[in-house]
Amino acid sequence: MKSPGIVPPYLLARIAAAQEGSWARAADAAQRTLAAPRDYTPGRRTRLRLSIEEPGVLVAETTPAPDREISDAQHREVLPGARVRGEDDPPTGDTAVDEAFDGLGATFDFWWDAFARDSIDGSGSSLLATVHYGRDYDNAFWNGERMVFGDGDDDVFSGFTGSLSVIAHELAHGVVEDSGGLLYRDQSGALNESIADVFGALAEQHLAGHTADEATWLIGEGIFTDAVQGRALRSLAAPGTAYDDDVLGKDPQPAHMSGFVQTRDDNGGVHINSGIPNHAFYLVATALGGHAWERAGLVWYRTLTAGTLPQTADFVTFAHATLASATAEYGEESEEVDAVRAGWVGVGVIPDDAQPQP
Amino acid sequence: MTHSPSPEPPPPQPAVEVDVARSGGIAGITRRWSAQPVGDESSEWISLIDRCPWDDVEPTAAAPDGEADAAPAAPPARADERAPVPDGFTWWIRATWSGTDPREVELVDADVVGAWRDLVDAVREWNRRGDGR
Repeated sequence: MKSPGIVPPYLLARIAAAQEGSWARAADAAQRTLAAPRDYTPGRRTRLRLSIEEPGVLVAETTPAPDREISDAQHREVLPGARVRGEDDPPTGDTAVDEAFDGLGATFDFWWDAFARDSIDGSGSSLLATVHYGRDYDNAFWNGERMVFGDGDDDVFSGFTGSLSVIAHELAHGVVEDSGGLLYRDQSGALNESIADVFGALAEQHLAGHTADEATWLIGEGIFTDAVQGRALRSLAAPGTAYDDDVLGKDPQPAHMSGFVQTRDDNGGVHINSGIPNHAFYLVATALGGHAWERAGLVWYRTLTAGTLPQTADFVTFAHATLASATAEYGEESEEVDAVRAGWVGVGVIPDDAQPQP
Repeated sequence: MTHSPSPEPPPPQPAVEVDVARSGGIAGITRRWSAQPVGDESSEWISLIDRCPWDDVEPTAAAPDGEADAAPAAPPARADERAPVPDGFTWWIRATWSGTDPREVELVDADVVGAWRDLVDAVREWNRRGDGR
């Protein structure tokens, strides 16, 4: 899909003289170079990206561009609501609309830059969101085709569109679904949730340029009102510590199988036990260091999209699948495989001396 | 808490209690609300409860044993027949009043409309009057 064009060094000199306004000319020249036939679907939105990769080499490439559409439910619980902003429209001035639009764009960029995935379905599907859903509606969810955001009730939640990890979490549910799905109940449901958290956190890290050591590893930072004692909804670094509030109670997430919670609520605790695979990912990412999406994230992505993950996968099945992906990607003797194994051992999903399944 | 126990025999009006729990959501935080109306309020609450289509929903696994013995309703529209919406809310509603079996259902968010919504809103409103948040 990617079609890089290498522009010779003399062009870079022109770019360097940009003070005279010749940036536009350089871009124009690069654009003409790229006017040559491309391997793109007709009608597919693309954009030109210029970057300097090595001294003296300007790289120009066309990449897919997002196709976003934001609707406004106008405080009713009816979808999709009225279309208020499309891809080519300027900001509306409505904070929720514009935050959702920007968040979808950042999430789209993350999936493309990290894994060369073109939107949710990998083929440039539109990114749809509805904001201002319901009255005092305390939630954001993925309905199978679009992200839906309430405004919060101003008691607990101040809104949901201000957090990129929340927006990217919802979109990741779409990627999980497109990849074959994980039943939204018990351990497979907790994996579904965890994968949404992992890619939600990674999208935020990608936008900030954070390495694993610099990242907050929080989901939904800043969406609580000041009245709530808590930083975020969840912490991958330290599950169980995101909030401790007199009304909401304490963050119930375990970080280890020894704390696995049996409950009928929440489809069998899918948002609770997700703390275990969440923390496994954190352990893998911090052991490897650097940008977490480059190695730990790639292993999780390959596992999700391999087409071999059963919908009913439990933690152990998923752990072995990540080991198989890491082995295929980096080799059996690699530090990546060691890190993945240590991550799952660290949360008690596989025993200390376990060998990867053949 | 909101009404002190009286040492005298219970009043003739039935004592009503409606409990609501909302689990799931992206936050995964379970919120609980409860209304225990007394006196004149009770009859309004009973009509609110009666307007809800309890029998159209299969009793949940946690339903008391007594309810399982009741005549089974026509093939019910099971709440979990539709695939759960990722990050969607799940609602659990239980109504009890003296002299009748407790009623209990579990509903996905999209099904909490009409009479169900009226009942849930009433419980949350009753609760809001009782305490702060």
